[in-house]
Formats: sequence, structure tokens, C-alpha cells
Amino acid sequence: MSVLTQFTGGERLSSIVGAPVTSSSMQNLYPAAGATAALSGAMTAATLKTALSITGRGRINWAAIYCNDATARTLRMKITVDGSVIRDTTSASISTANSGFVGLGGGFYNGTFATAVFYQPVRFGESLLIEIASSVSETDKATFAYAYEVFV
Amino acid sequence: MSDDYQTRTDAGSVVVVLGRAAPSETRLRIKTPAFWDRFTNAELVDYDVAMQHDPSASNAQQKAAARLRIFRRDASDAGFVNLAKNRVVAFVQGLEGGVLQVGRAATILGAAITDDEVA
Repeated sequence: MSVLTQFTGGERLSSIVGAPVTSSSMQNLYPAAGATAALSGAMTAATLKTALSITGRGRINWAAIYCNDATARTLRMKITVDGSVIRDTTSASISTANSGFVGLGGGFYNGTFATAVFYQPVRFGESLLIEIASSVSETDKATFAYAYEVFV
Repeated sequence: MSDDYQTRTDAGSVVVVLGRAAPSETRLRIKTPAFWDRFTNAELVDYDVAMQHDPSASNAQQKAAARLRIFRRDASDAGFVNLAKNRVVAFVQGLEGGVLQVGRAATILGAAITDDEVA
């Protein structure tokens, strides 16, 4: 039992209710969330790949994935907090560049600027793992964006 | 872990994360000449033949030829083609089976826009 779980009664987030926010123009949305974006690297079709792994204590506030071109594909994000899967979402087919979904948090881009971005802070006491996948084998055709904090 | 990742220690936590920065701006607009350069010579010839007006053709065939002429004119007038625009994607994909072989649309639309091509 970690220090955190010892003093919080061992409560753990079981799952996130509701569907993730989908959006286009994600490349304009993530900067407004104060997020960092990284290319996916090589991905094998329908195979999860680690996007972010933290061993320690902290809080993930915002996470998103979107595609970089117009090839039709589905995108998936699986979020595991302290060993429990709290969200595992696969999008509908996406065939518009820069479109995807916000797996944690949300936001809206109105075509000119990001009119709303909100955090959905989820604490982790021991570990955080976010994995992503595409339905297509490809390299750097997806972007993962994230905003997290760690605790001392 | 591959070169895709960076590992760092932050306040005692070990963080492994995808580490190659995404482009600050995703390029969507390609110069019109660069767009047509993505077609092979044979494809351009087929496109040119297909867009010719044929008064003896059926109404549907004349409309299909008109669509090709309209797209070429729009691209020429604009000076660029937005490869992410739904109308453009649908149009290029619609060329497959005629002007383009199956799979060529994804290549034309999906290749990264280079510094020389960007509009």
C-alpha cells in the first residue's frame, strides 16, 4: 500500500463514465490545454503501444489522440491507473486530418480558436499507463497529446 | 524502448513518454502545381482525356467530365489544394477505378507535404 492509498482509504478510480469528446482541428486544441504533443512513431495495426508510462504519484489532466492525415482509420486509447483500466475507447472511422478524440478532459475548437478546454484530473498513486493504437500499420500518422503532473 | 521514447525522472517518478515532438503546425495546403505533380504522367493524361466535353456522351458522363474540369479550375484559381478538406478527399478517392488505380488516392492525399510543396 502506498503512502497515498494508505491515507486516502485506498480509494481507486474504477472507470470514467461517458464518451470522450471528439474534435477536429486537434492541432489547434492541444496547445490551449497546455498539453505536449508527440508523434506516435511506428504502430502495428490494432496493436496497443505505450504512449505515456509513469511510475510514481501524480495526476493526469488531459490526454488526446488524433490522426495526421486523411487515411481512414480508427484510433484507440487505453488508460490504466494504478493497475485498473479506467477508459478504453476506440473511435469511429476517422478520415479527416487532425481529427480525433480527447480521452481525458475535453475541448472545442470553433474553426478559428479553441473556445473551451477543460481538464479532467485523475490522480494515480503508483502508476499511470496510457496506450494508443491505430487500425492501420503506419509511422507518425497519429499524434498523442498529454498534460500531467507528478507529486513529490 | 525505441527511439520514439524519452525517459526522465521527475520528482521521484519515472516517466517514459513518446518523445518526438509533433509538428507545431500540421501542413494541409499544397501548391496546385505540387498537387498535380503527385499524379503520374499517365494519370494526368487519363485525367485530361476524361475531362473533355463530349456532346454525344450520356448526361451522367458529361456531368462526370464537368466535375473534373471544375476541380481543376478551382484548384488553379485558389493556387493551392487543402488535402484535408472533405470535398477534396472525396474527389480524389472518387478518381480511383478510373483515372487512378486503387490505393493511389491514399498516396496522393497522405504523403507529408514537404517544404517545397507547402502553400
